[in-house]
Amino acid sequence: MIELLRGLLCDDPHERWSVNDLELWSNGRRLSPLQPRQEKRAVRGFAFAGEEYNTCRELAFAMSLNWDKAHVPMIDGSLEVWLRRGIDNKELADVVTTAIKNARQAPAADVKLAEELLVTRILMLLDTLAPIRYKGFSALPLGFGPALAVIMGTKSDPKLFAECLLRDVPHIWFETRPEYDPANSQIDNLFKDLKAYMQQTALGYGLERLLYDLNEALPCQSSLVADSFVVEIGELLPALEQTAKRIDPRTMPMDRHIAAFIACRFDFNVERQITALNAAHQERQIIGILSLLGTVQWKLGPESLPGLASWMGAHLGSVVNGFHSRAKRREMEKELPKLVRAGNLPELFSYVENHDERRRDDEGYLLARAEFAASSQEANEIETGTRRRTDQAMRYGHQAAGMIAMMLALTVISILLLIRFL
Amino acid sequence: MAQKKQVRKVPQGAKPPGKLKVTLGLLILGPPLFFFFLPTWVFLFLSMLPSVVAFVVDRTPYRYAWVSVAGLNLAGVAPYLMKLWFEGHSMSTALKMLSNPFDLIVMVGAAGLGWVLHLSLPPVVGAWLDVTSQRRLTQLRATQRKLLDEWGAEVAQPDSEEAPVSRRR
Repeated sequence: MIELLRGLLCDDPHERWSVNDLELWSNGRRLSPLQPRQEKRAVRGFAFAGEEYNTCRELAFAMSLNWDKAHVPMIDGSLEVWLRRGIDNKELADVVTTAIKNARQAPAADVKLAEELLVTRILMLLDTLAPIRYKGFSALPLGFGPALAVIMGTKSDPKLFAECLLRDVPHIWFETRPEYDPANSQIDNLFKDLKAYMQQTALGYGLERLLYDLNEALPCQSSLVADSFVVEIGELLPALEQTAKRIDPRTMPMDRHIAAFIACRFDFNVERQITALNAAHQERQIIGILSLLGTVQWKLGPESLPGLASWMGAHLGSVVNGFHSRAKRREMEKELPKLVRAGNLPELFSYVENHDERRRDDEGYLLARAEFAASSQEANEIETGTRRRTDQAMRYGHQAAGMIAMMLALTVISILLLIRFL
Repeated sequence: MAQKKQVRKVPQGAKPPGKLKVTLGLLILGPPLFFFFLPTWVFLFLSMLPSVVAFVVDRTPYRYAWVSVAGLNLAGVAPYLMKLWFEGHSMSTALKMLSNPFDLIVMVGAAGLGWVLHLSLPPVVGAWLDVTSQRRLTQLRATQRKLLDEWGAEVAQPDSEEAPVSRRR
């Protein structure tokens, strides 16, 4: 039993027994016994938070539990002295000194942040086997996914998790590894991508996107499909079709979880559709939802989703009203029920998002506005121009009278002259 | 490239050659002509007095009254002017016609008709303008109703209140 316990409880994860080792042991094969490696102990203990600690690991653990006090011995230099003289680890002492020096160079406004990151870094240096520890959050890099799943599942505050990612704490962890591991670079790059996703708060991004990126087997957590246990992207639309039969059609067939789930699990570039989901106008958002779900149906089926199409159709009122032409609206209201019954979302999308029709409608509308404005102006001029018209009538009347009089005079003179000379 | 315009300098006070010729011509021919046609000038001045009065009393900005009055006044004077020219061009003939009440009534009456024409045409023109304006107004309202039926009430809103979808995208 000692061999089993030593194997399973080994501190070094590389030497710790796996399931295979356990099977081999249970089948009677005896493995080479693991010898516990004792950590170097200090000649004199380090006093922290009322206790004395003789190893770096113990001290790091204690400091992680007393986060607010941990920076004090680091900043005042007592930790460095203890590492140099007590533990006699000059290399570690030098690294810690450099970290403290860098933290002191931080601008005055960022001192608090710099101290927190310093504590995180030094805890990682003191105990290289420990997980990432940041304030109250603690997880190994590969444990970030399950940690986030727990946070979201229990509806806990994800502030520490988000802060940890935004402040590049995982990168510090990779920097402080004693040995180079190429796999670490990949994971480090993954964390950079995750940080970029998290910095975007739009639908399809944020913590939900991280949740599905980091937990490949996690089902979609949307309340719309929670009962259907949707793990594969292909299961999403049938699940929504089932939901459509019982849900209030005023509910949107899209939420942050569904958007992030599709963005993460759908092996097709849907950036354009995701961008449309986050448009400023509701009409464009609806088009974005239809486009995204339509793309999924187009690539993965099923061929007909009348329930989901009907659900979408209930939200297309604003899209129809996006057209200015009343004739076009009437035509769409007549045509849409047929397309909804067919249950083909891509066809429904291509019907409502017809760019030529939109352009024609917009151009016609602009012309109509111009015509209406011009006619209003002219009508207004007619209605308010009585005085001007009276003046005009006076002037034209006098001109006409003068002209008639002169014509008469010329006519009379001409007739008289003709009489005289003929 | 901009070229400087050649400006011909005209000495101040000097008159153009054409004007000088006309002035000279009038100075030379004017007095003989005036004296030769003296009965005509006297007759015209006295018979066309209503037109002069119309010019003086008309206070409208355009002063069209004298044109109407003078036109018909001249039409009334013309038969007597012909008589003067073709039946003895003398001062006594001119004064004889001017002292004849019937002739005077014809000449001044014609001028009066000029006033009547001048005063009666503006209301007629005004009525015509009103009718055409009302017809145009009816047409415009019909166009607006059609636009409202086709494009909705937003078509009547000013530009700042609502922009078309294409601009919003």
